[in-house]
Amino acid sequence: MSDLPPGILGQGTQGIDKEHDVPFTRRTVLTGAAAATTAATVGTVYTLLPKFAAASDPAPAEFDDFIQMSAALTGINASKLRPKVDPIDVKTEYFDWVRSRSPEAFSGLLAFFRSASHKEQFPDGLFESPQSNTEIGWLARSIILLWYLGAWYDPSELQNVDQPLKPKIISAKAYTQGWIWRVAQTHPMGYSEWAFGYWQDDPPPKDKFIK
Amino acid sequence: MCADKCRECDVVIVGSGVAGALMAKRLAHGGKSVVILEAGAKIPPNINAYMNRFFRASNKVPESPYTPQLSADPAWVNAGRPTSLMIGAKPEQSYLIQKGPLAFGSTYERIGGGTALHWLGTSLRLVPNDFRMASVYKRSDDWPTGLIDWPIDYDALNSWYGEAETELGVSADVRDQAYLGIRFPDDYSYRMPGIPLSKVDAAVAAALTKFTPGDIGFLELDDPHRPWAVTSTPAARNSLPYQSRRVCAGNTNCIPICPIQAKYDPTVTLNEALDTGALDIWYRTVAKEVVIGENGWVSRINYIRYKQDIGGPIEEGCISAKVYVLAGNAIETPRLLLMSKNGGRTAAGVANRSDLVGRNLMDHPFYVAWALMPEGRPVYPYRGPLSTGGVEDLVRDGSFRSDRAAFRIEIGNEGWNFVVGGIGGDPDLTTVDLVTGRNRSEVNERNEMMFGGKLVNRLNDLITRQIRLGFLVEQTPDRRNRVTLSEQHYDGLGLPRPAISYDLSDYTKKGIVAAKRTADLLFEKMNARSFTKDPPPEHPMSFEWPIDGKTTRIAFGGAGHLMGTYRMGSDPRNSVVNSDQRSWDHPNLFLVGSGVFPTTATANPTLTLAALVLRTAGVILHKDLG
Repeated sequence: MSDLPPGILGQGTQGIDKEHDVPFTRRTVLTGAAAATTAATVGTVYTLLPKFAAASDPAPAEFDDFIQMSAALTGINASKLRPKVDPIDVKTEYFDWVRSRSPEAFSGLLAFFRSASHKEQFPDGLFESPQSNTEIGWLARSIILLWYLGAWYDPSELQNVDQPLKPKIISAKAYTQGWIWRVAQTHPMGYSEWAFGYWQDDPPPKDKFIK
Repeated sequence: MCADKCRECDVVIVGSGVAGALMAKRLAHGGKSVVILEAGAKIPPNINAYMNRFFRASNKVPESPYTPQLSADPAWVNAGRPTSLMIGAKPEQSYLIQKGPLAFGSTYERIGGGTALHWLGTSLRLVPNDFRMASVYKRSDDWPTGLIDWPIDYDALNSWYGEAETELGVSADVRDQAYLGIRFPDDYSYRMPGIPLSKVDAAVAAALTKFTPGDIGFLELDDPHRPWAVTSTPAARNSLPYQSRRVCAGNTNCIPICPIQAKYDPTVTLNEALDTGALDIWYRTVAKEVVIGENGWVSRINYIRYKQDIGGPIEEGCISAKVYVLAGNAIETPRLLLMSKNGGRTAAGVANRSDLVGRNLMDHPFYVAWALMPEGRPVYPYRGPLSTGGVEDLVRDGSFRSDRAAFRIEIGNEGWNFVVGGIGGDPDLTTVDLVTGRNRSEVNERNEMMFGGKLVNRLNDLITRQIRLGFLVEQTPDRRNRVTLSEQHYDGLGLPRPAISYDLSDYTKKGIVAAKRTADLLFEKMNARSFTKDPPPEHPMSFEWPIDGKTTRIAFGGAGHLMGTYRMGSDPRNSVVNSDQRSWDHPNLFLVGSGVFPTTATANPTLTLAALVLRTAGVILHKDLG
């Protein structure tokens, strides 16, 4: 196995992020994995576990808008972005992160979303409007990438195609919750929730992962 | 300096990787008191310290989970190491000083457990002809250049392979592996059944059935009519619970780190050795000089200790023993030998009467090719171990080895993860492209910006069709490919950093060209669209070669398989150690690891170096070494 593919030369390195040391243990990860497995098989069990339900949603109205808006942007069902049993709770971390990074653009984006008559189609309106190439439009793209990759791509960097990107995995759990892996019908590298030999068969259909 | 204060033990081992760990375990179990000097940091009590670093690393390179930090200037790092992102870089960023003409593309770790913390686990045996390349394939003094026989043969190692497969816990089926003369004892079985093949493997296998003898004429196989097949790769990866470790859960992360230790790593062996109470491991302890006594025997090793990754030494000391085993790797072991000048008595370095210490540095030049399967034909990569299958039986040996290097084919299960845009490229790179209108992946040719359902569908379509092939090509020895000591660049302890001169022979280049043509053919038979990039002329790991009358530039990578720099042989003028891995010059000094390999063969070296270590441990235990 190679350590070095062709084509990587001359890149800068990335230091290890010590700034956002979000508490993370194997235990929480496994709890989350167990919950995810449960969710896929016996959905009704949630009613037995009311104490987990929406335990840490802050500012309910604004948070709810964030989730609905994120669902429209990402194409991932809102019930997946905000599962009823969610001890990992990456959604709150994302909400807090985006709000603290770009408070004004975030308010503007939420306002745009609220004003849309068809919430599911709101990104069409956003990306076809003059707003598409403003900070609000690029914040929307940063939010998509945050949900997909667990990494923050600063909107100002994304706007400039010539600028090298410096993504930041915002926390260990954010990486493990990236939606790109589920969209590709798999698991994050290093975070399998599956059993020996699964790879010899086709995965479950895509919609099982995201709807 | 401090001989009277040296700590004493039976055996000192430098390095705690696979070779050092296995040696320590065997000797400790045999009643010897053993001390390992390990240059790097201690293994953390809980693997999550490494997992946390890995999860949060923006560039998920093989080194990501491990210390020291990747971005430090190597001049300040006490025990530095080469890293994947810095292979073409200047000395301010690169620990290795690259003197060319080509860059050396492999890296290693200096940490408790060594580089095998991030090995893939591939555990192929060498084929018998790999041990007698000169006898079987040398046509003249001039061609192929550099070929040399090993001082031992396959049969001498057969039982030691079995022991190594037990220590490492190899999953494979004898039926699949008995090819090209590989023989097993009558009732032999691997410790665990083979690892199931992936959907990617199945797609490659289907395409291989379409090869015709005419298609593959360029390979000049002995029997072009024999059908090609994909077989499950022997791997030190659990298909059953083994050594109190879990079964592989297909985390697709053998490199850089298995989160559940279903893949063997040397900490397993180190813990078994520590349990005896006869082993001490001294971490952050860098061997600085092998001291030779008046009788020509090693009398002690001087070392430097440090506390933090950066910040210089805190103390110096020495340790003496009856037997000394150097188990660094094919760069750090010759570096230590060359640094050991003994006040000028060994000005050319210890164990270096042959002038071969540091010479004949080899790797498996790694040709990678990547493609997209046709629409509607997903292969579902990013699932299962990083690699489960390969092609070996036809391509690893044959009379073509009188003309060009052999190779083996490794089928990747990680899509374009380390090929598109660099290590850790995908799925991130393609995702960013589709969301922001970039086209670094070359799959977003119209620079579209997507969101919602369209984004989901397009990403699913693209990522599930990614395929990656790797070809590990054998490299011939060349005394000009060598490790020396830099005269300008030092590490944080003030020790000279390794300088590397590296090139490929025409024989090896011809093997890489054959690999490229095989990849092209395979993609054609799969109706897959290749996205393999032609390297720019300045690419430091590329060369030009005529293919079908057209000059083509081909890039290659390193495989992380460092070999050859203190090779074994039957003639002290032409080798550094004998078949027991014992220095010709100093009777109580043993040099172990793949640095002893006279030739590279095509198998990943860990299993063979493990077998050799176990054999040498028997020699040390059963001979009175005074």
